[in-house]
Amino acid sequence: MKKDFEKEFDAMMKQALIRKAECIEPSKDLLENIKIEIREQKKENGFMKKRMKQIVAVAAVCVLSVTCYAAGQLGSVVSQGSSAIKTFAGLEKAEKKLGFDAKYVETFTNGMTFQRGGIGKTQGMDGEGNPMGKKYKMMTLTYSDEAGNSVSMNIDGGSPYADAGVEETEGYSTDTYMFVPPNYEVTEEDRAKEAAGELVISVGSEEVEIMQMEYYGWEEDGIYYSLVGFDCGFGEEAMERMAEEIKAQ
Amino acid sequence: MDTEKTAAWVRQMQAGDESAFDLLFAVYQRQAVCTAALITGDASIAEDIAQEAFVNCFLHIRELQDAERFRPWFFRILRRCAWKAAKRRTGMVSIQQEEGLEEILSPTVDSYPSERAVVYEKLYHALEGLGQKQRTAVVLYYFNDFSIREIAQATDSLEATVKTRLFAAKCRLKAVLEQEMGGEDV
Repeated sequence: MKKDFEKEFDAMMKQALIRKAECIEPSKDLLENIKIEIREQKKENGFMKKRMKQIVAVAAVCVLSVTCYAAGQLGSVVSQGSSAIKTFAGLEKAEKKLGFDAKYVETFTNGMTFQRGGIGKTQGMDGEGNPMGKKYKMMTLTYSDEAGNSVSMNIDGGSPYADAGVEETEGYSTDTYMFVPPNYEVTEEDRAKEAAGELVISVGSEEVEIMQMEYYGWEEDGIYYSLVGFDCGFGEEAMERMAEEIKAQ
Repeated sequence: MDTEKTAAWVRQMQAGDESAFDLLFAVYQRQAVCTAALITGDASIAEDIAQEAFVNCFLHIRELQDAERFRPWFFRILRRCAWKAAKRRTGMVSIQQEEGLEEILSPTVDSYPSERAVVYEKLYHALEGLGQKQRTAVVLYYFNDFSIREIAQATDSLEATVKTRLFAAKCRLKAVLEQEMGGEDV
């Protein structure tokens, strides 16, 4: 009798859930909404690819070293946040939520002026995409000039890279990015360039766009700063000057 | 769902053919939204949870090392999103709830024999009273037909822990059924 009851219970429990779910139907817009969100997240996270490349390079070198073990576990770092703040005053208010003092300016001497900003979080991920290590609060600011150039500055309250034992050195670097539509078929030549570190392929654009990314990063009092621009043509000196203006605050 | 077919789509996506995402979505969309609703007990946030899970799935598909394990991998993402959303919702009361416009997951008594329908509602109500971890285990086991091993993978738990959760949950749920079957020799 007990076995019968077990069977009856299993059947009824299953039916109770199936029945409850019968009234649920995904909306017809769901797939489209997902694709819009994917495009937005790719744009927001695009700048992080550079740092991801750095970690891969460092991990590859560290395979030769018996002392390196933590870096190999960190697969990527993801930053998520909004750019909902449209005024500089609003940004200063939001900064209180960060829990640390961030340095930033409203206008750089090269004319780059604050346009929008927001706060979010930065988290390291392992090779399977699972969160690992500490999660840090971060602030993002977007600047642009009259010529239409745009630069993003991220301020992180900590670094998953540093936590993983990877030294984050101050400096400038540049990479060629190819943004492609979701259905774009990456050519063998593109793949070869990507493998050689000459190209970073990022999916999510409406059309194929090749852009030059410039990056300048540094750490100060445990706070990690990075400036990223696409096709701005700044060069190392100009990026370093912008960094110096932030440091002088 | 055919695991081999799913794995083939996953490999297509990992190779850069993102059209396979639409196929995965078509197969898993309803199960994802329903699972989110059942885990949280709130249909109003289920679609947002499923959306977040599918976005993460798309962005991280290349990190899935074994394409055959897509199902527990995807539902682990979904489960995390659901728990996170449930945590955010804690302490918040929707306008609909305040105004008593509808229940979070409305009961539907229609095509089922009324006595059974009442038992189903009571079982579901008892499920809502379980803790999040036990409820999730029950939903994945009974609604998604997950094995103990798959539940363990989807919930980042040991198989022994899943068994313990299911056993404890079933004890409480069975008590409800026994009460409903009133006096029958079980």
